[in-house]
Amino acid sequence: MVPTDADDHTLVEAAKSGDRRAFQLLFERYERKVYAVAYGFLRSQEDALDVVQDAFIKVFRYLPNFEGQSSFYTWLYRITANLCIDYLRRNTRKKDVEFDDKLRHDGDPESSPVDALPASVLGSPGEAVENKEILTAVEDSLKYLSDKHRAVIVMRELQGLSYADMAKAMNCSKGTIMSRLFHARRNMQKLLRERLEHLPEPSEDGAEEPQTEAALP
Amino acid sequence: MKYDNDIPTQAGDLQAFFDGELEGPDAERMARSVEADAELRAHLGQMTLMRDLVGRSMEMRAAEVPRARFEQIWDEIDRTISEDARSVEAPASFWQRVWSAIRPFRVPAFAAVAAAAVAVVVLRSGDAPPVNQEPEVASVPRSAEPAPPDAKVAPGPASIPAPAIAESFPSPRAADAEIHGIEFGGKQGRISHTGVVTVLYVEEDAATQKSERSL
Repeated sequence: MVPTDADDHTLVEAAKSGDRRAFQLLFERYERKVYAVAYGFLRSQEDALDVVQDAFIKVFRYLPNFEGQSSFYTWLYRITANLCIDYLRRNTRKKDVEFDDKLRHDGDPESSPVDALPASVLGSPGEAVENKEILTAVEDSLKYLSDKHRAVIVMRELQGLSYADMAKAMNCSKGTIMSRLFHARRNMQKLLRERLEHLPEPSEDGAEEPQTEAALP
Repeated sequence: MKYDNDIPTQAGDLQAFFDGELEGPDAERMARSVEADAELRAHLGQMTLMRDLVGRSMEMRAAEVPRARFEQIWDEIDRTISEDARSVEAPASFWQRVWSAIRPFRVPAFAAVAAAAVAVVVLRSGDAPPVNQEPEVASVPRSAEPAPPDAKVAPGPASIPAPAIAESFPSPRAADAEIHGIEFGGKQGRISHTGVVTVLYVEEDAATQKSERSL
């Protein structure tokens, strides 16, 4: 019986030899990460959970063919990305804006993206990633990206897939992926800036301005 | 690096550098540029922050899913895996595999067989001897038609299936006919020596019905 803290390679080998418990440990280790990726693509909890289920079933079926040339999670994420892209192709959702790759962010591509995110709101990067309102704004911004732009953002920023793997998954050239990623990042910054502008700026000591009591006479 | 669209070269290269896609001299050149240029460092800082924010927001969303929901998902995965295992352990029988293999041809094959069967029946019925042509004449008298309300129809013969009658009588040779008459239901019939059976159905208010059947 494999220990619960065994590394991925050990669990994969045990699962290959029929150890169902080892495979369950792999599932428990990656279930939320795979869900996060699927949710990033699909924006629906139930659809994302369906993809989690399909991804692990597919992984188990193809486990005998997995030779370990890449890490298990890279392989798992690639399968998840492919399932999500297939899902999006089957259920093409119509978007009013930015579905077409040619629709770009406003402004000159040469312009500096440094201005895109208001530093006064974000504070330090460490504070920003702990701020729930900022994270909600990020999620809302992702929602307004096109499926293609969101796909490259999720595959790159969440999954860390290479340009070659992304090109394979999206059935396009590496150059297209690079361009798509560039514009997706610009769009994301623009959308996020619009949402962050409405957030209250943190006070001097880093705490947010009180909203209710301060407004009362 | 080559781009499909008109992305500024330096911005594209910076992105590739950030994503770890630049190698060798290109990577070294960009590293030197970033070190010397504060604006490029700020760009990299923005991209790093964006990556952290995207990752953290998705993790936050994933943390909201109850553990029980993932347990349900695992149960479904486990059930599917078990079904897979059972299907591998118990391979389909020869006939099941043949049945599966001909799946695309089942409908046309059955249609062809059905058409052939109909053709055989039609052809055979054309060659059949006269004895089997109209069995219903003797067994189903006209009394089967709606009778007047006060009519009394002789019971019996109408309910006997014709083939049974045909099989119950031996095929007589013309000279061996021994039966001279039939009597049932209080009625009588006469059989001639030439092998022709004459059955008479007598009804009270209707004219005598007569039918003939060759044996």
